[in-house]
Amino acid sequence: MKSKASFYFSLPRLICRLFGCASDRSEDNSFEAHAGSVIIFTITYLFLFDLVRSQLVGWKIFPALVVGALAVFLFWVVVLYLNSFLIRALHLVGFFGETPDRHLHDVFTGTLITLFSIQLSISNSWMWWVGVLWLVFAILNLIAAAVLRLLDSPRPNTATG
Amino acid sequence: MSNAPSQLRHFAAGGVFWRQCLDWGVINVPFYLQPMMIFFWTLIFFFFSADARRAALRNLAMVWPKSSPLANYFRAFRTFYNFAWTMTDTAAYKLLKMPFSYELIGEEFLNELATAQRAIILTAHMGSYDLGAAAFAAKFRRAIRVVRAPERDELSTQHVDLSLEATAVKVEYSGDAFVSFDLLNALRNGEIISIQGDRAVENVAATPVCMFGKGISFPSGPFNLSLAAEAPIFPLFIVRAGFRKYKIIVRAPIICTSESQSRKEAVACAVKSWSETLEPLIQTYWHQWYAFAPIF
Repeated sequence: MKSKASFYFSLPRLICRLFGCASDRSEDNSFEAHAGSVIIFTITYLFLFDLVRSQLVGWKIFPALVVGALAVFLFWVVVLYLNSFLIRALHLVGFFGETPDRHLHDVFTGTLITLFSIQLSISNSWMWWVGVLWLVFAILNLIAAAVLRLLDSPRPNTATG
Repeated sequence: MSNAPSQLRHFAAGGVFWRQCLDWGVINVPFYLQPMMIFFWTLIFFFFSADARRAALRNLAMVWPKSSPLANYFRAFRTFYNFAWTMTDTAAYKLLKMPFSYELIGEEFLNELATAQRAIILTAHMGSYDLGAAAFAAKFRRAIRVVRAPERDELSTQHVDLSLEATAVKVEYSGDAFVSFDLLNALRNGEIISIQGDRAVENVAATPVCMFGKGISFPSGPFNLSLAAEAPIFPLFIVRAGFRKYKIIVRAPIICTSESQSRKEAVACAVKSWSETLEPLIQTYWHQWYAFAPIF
């Protein structure tokens, strides 16, 4: 009997399938939820830090690190709120009517994090690694999504002679 | 102008505004952003809800008498954090029909409860009682009537009513004048009633008992109802066991009978049994005891 695992992201689902387990798409994987939060928080935090680090000298750096954490949280609250207007506008003009709002937020969130990662990946510091790692993951995840789509698409009937 | 204080109440910690924000978040925020959001919102509520924080600290100090105040501060934060998760899970179940898994402990008692002609579920401000009641009603296809204290904000009360009634659960409020008669009738008609029995509110009959070595009062209502309707009391708790995972813990029923003793003695005896059931549960799941009002 095949073991069954459920993941949200395409890459772990494809890996799971390659190792012979059945894998469903779901939003109940604790590891993905917590790792996703940590990764998004870290990339946003580093992006913000990269923007202001030239102005942070001496003692100012310590309160700035704490305020930065709160700023990241507030940034995402505002971004999600503004995105919801954009999603409403898209719905009004007839786009993505069937797609749940949180999945559209998903696209915006992924795009924004990828833009931050590109910025980090061209910085001249150790943060370069963080940006590159995300970009590698994002590309592999997109490839995995395409492969899964191909694997799941119904095969055309072949003529038998 | 005279409406200003009541308008402001909607924005207080228990106000409807925050419940609506939570609903919005559940619908809009991708699930992998939720842990970050919940963590920071917990920090904010922990900081601003001074009364609830002090009450939680005071109650935790009774559970952990030898612990330092700083350690209890962290414990109180963990309790707030779990509460935030529980609220989120309940909203996700209500709005998105998001599935959650659960493990049963004491399944034989749960089956006994499901087949009982009439019964009282006695629970505590622990885990997700709303989610548990809804799951029970759905699993056993039995109507369940939940008795709860009204929220401070009237619109919050309406919000809770609507969300629970969407799941075949009827809500009664402990402050209503005729609630005891309604409950007795409901029990006699074969309904199951769920009551939170870990906090005696003002103007409600209470019975003194000892828990964690301290004097405490529990509401007598559920036990009086049990005597009047001859219905067993099933202690039942729903605690969070992980990401969208819960544990349903059912303990042996408490039978409240006045055959060989006076009514008062029967109630006192049943309240003592309840306290003996509750104490080890709170000792184990202190981080999910949402006692945000002084209990001891």
